[in-house]
Amino acid sequence: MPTPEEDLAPYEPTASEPWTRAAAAHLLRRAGFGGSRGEIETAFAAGPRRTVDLLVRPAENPAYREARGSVLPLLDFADVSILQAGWLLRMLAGGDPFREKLALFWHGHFATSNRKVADLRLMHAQNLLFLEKGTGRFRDLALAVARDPAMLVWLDGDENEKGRPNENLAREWMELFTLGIGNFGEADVREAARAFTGWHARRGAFSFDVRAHDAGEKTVLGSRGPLDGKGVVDLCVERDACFRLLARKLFSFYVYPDPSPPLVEALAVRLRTLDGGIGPFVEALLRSRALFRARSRRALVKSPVELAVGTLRALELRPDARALGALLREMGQSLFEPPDVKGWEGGRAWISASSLLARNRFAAEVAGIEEGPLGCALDPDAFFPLSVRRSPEETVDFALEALLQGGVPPAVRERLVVSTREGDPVEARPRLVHAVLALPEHQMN
Amino acid sequence: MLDRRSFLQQGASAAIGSPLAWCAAPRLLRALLGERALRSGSGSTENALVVLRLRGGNDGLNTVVPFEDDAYHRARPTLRAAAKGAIRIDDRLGLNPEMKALRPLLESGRLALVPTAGYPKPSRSHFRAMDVWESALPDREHVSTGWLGRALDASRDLSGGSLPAASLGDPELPLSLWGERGRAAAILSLETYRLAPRTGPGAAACRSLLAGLQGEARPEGTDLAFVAAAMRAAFASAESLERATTDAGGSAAYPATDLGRDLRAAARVLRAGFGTRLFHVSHSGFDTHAEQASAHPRLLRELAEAIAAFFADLDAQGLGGRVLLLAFSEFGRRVRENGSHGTDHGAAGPVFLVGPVKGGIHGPAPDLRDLEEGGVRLGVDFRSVYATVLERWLGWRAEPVLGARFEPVGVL
Repeated sequence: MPTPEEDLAPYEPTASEPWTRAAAAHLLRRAGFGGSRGEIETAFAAGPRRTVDLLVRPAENPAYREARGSVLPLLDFADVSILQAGWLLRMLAGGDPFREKLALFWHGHFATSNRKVADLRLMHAQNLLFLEKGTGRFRDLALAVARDPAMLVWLDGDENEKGRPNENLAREWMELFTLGIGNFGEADVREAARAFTGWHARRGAFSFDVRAHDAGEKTVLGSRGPLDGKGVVDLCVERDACFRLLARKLFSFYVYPDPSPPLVEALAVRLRTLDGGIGPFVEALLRSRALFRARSRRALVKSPVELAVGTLRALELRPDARALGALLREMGQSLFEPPDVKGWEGGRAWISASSLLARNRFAAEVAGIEEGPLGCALDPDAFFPLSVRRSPEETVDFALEALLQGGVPPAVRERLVVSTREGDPVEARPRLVHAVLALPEHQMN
Repeated sequence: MLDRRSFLQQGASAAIGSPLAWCAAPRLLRALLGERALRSGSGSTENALVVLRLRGGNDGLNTVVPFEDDAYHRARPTLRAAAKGAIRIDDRLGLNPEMKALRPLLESGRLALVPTAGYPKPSRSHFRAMDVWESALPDREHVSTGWLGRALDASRDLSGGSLPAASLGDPELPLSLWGERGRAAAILSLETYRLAPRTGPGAAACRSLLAGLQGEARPEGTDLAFVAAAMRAAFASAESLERATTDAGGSAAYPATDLGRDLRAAARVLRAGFGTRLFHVSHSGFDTHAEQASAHPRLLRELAEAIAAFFADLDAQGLGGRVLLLAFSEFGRRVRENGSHGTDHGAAGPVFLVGPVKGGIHGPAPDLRDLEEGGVRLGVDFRSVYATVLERWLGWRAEPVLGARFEPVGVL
């Protein structure tokens, strides 16, 4: 077992952990939403260090810039599908996958649903908040979220007034957003709720309602004083429990699930050393040896967004983005509508009968063997070079390398070869692409 | 407190048929449920239950209308139109005239009503109140299992093969069906719960290739192996559902509404003969804070027409005696209409039971002179209704599921 220090040391290619196209594709999948064949090739040529440099400080990308502005004029007229489409177009365009992936992480962490907020402008503003502050210091992000109108509507901040405190925000703030269960008491929740009184959303903006604020003495987490909401935020974000919760959750999102307690401890120390800087912390994870170890490869179940956006980017397809949002809902991840304030559970919870059937339908449509709502499918003649079509083995190896960068059991490859050899090649090639996209291995990130 | 992550993991592993899942169920839930077999009561394992959830808080007083009550007429100056032409159930209460499609079921004694169902200290939050009705654990702040999910977990004699319980029309599984063993499937529609590719020249070759690929060994105990096994099970259940439902024609006329579509789907699955025992459907839009008269009558008409079509279809298939439908909402609404010609969140409300029941009214009628903060006061604890359904209809012991003993209601 490597020590936490070894795990967090910068990755240098070695004989046992070489820099390969598979490693480059792995890095692009974890840092963002995967790459096209060209992007994987570029990352492979650039090497791990330069690739992370470019992810963290990306070059200007006009298509991405255009995608960022595209939904604004529509917010007054449409339903949540327009927000979903707008965000998916940004992810599909590339341009800033590092920040977009972190925004997705924060959307799951500070999980807010339009089903209750019912205001696309507020949800959009929160999404931009995650994009803009999501790589900064956690305390700045946390304070912005505590004052975010969508959040205040979502967790009844609006109802929280002096004399009749509503504990919803205060409770989730401690239990889910910062400390974790067991690291605070019921009295802390009650007192923190008093501190948050008067933090309201008015006409789409944060408003401090002095008359509704309880300015009296409170005791939260052992500190006494006339605390307000900012006081509670500051107390929570400085606790060891908060650094541990974030470090563990980020590592489980980017590297592999359930890191060992000593590793979580080392990660929490690292995060504190970085002054709670989320971007630098995730950057360190992307440069770490832990990310490139065998146990990290295909160690996470792809979320529906990762699966769909990753596949469409790999195949360089442009779908009807609203239809894609609806399909993601069937797969269990309706953007801007997380199931509850805990966000998506992730991991094995992504897997259900209905969601797997939806994943398979997605694979069938993009492979071109069944028509569907996305209105886009691979052109097998353009995808498979003439040079690999001569032999079934070469055809299969090409598809496995392009879509999965290898890593399937030999018996799986053998079945694909047998199937590709049979019958009409015009049917066999889309069938091969569908089968690879529907493989259990392809559901793993 | 159950941890939702462990619930989901174990639920999902159980969904793929691991016999160890029950042994691995968290101790707390096992303690709650007990280890004994749950067979009891007079219910039959042949019987199926359809739970219909009215979302948003249905206005019970304009659904089961106290048409001769002066207090009703005074409290509802603009919304009392429902009293005129109400379909008499007894001398005091009548169905909203928009529900005339239910008249044949009412007159043949197949429609029962519990007009004041609720629970002590009712919540006025939609989320919280719905959680209470679906978990049947009103005293717990956080819940991660539903009453039907726990009943499913505990049943040892479950038929239904790969599909013992199905939610139709909702993308997420409703809390009612959440259990430790994850035996219920959320089926958005029969159209989407299917294995692709469905047709086309190479469909058969594609499908057999997929099955073969999933069947290959993956490293044991890994998430990858879990995904492979879950895929195998999901694809197989979709294929058998498809085979079983394609030939089951069913020409019954359903209204062209979401509820009509979902009940038609339930009838198709019933007809397919899987032995599926639990179904769940929803009907949304009942949060009528303003201009209630423009929405509520339509919602009730849709409800009545879909239920009538469902039972006509079942009767034509000879299944009418095997199916019980239970409709509920998270709360009723305030007795006094508000300043926007609507009604605000109230307390107790009516539960509908349709099928082989003792028809008519069960339990007290709303007393409009003795209110619960402006809402209708609780007359029958909804858990008594659940207990009755569990024991006398489904043949399962109610006490371990509900955590306490509740007096049955004479409706079955």
